[in-house]
Amino acid sequence: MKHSLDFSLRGKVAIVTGASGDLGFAMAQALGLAGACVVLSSRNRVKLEDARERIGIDKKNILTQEVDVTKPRQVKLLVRKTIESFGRLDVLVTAAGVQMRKPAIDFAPREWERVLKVNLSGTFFCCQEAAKQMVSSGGGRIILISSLTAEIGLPNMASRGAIRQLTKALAVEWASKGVTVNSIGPGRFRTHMTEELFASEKIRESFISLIPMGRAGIASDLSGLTVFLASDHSKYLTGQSIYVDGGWLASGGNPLG
Amino acid sequence: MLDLFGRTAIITGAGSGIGAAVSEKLFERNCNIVMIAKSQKNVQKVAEKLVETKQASHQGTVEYYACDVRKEKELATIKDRVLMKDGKIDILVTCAAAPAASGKAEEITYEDWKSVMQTDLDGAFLSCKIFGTSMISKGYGRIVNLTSFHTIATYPERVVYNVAKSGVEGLTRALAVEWGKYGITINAVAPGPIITPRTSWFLSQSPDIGKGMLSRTPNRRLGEAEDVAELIAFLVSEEAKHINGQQIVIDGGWTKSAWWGSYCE
Repeated sequence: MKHSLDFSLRGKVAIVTGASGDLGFAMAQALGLAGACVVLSSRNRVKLEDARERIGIDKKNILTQEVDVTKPRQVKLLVRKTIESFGRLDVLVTAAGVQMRKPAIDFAPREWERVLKVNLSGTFFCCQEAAKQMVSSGGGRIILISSLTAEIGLPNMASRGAIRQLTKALAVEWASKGVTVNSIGPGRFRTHMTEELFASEKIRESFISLIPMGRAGIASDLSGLTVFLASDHSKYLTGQSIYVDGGWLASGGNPLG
Repeated sequence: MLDLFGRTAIITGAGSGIGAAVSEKLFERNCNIVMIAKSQKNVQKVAEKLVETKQASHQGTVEYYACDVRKEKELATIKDRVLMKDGKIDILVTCAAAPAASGKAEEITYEDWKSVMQTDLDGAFLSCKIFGTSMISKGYGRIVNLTSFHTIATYPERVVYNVAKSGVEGLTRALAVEWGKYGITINAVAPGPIITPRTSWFLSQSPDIGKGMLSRTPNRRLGEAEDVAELIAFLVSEEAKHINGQQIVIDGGWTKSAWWGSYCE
């Protein structure tokens, strides 16, 4: 297939955290299929191996690395291994995240800290280590995962708003170094993480009735934007949170019929 | 702190709904109010009621005019009269809007389109231009344009209203950056569902509409015109002097929430 724009990522190296989750996996796959070498990382070795088997990319272009993003030392190791294996680092996708659904007043301090530690601190540590490489090599692309919930309130989603802000903060700080930082905010997506919500017919129907495009998102809906943001074509685009939500935010959840 | 004694305010669309509530609120704050509406009958009724119920403590004056905000000349005539009486215009609140026009985008006639755009958008611009000129010459002014939550989150079959109000949001930003240097602030207030004649018509279309609105309003109530008037009365006061170019949404949390559940359960 011939495209008018060349989106090939051949010769580029990408790290994807949370690569065993649905969204991270789809994004890693998209980058790999576009020609990049991909480092799949997650906390879970078994799931990582499974991801490597399923991803459909030449094994020599794949590295798997078990990483807990809340441990800066492990994050450092992730970047070092990447450089050892592939010689460079061009793209970071931070898809590692946890979700905890419970009423705000029931959150134990430990639980609150856990969510922020993974979603916010972990994301930051990854950006920081990756940027050290990218700044020294003249540039890079960082793609964070934000959410619809960075724009609107859903119970217990404070960390996503922080990601939106982190996106802006890092973007302005690293813009002059050739490193762009953007976030992709998925709207209502059906993944393993949201399955318990979608399992309820009432909630499922309510979700879908409020999406102008009439369906929930699926992981591969992020593929094109991921490749675009990782490519040379997006070099002037930074600090943005781009929502992939089927038009949800444009209507703000107002009834459509 | 929010007293407006000695200030003169022009309120367009003052014959009913939010415009009437704003007039009342500013009058309570001792402002001289000049109420403008397309229909003399409505605005006269509201104005006379204000005068009738006037408390001894209220120190402002009340005037009213029938005026079509689409007509630059009519606005200019009012400006001249007000300047003759009070010597200045300090405050402008634009609430004038055409009757709710709804319908499928592909079926809206160009005539309907123009009619709403002329009142809601052109009318807001002309009001700002005519009365703003006087503010510029005095080096002081407070303008609040009424927009709508439709400017940030809309639903089908409201295309003209949405575009017109979004235009007013842009007008607000544009004038804010252009006139800030004259000591004039221009902000927009975007109400969510507020109980007014306009929304009452909408609510009367089906009992489910009101229930639906309530269920997704974190505050668990529909807004009242006075809620909006309070915000506007703050924005036109001295205290709001560094607030400029903002659109402040007043909706009980409506547009900040994507919760799928009902707030009323």
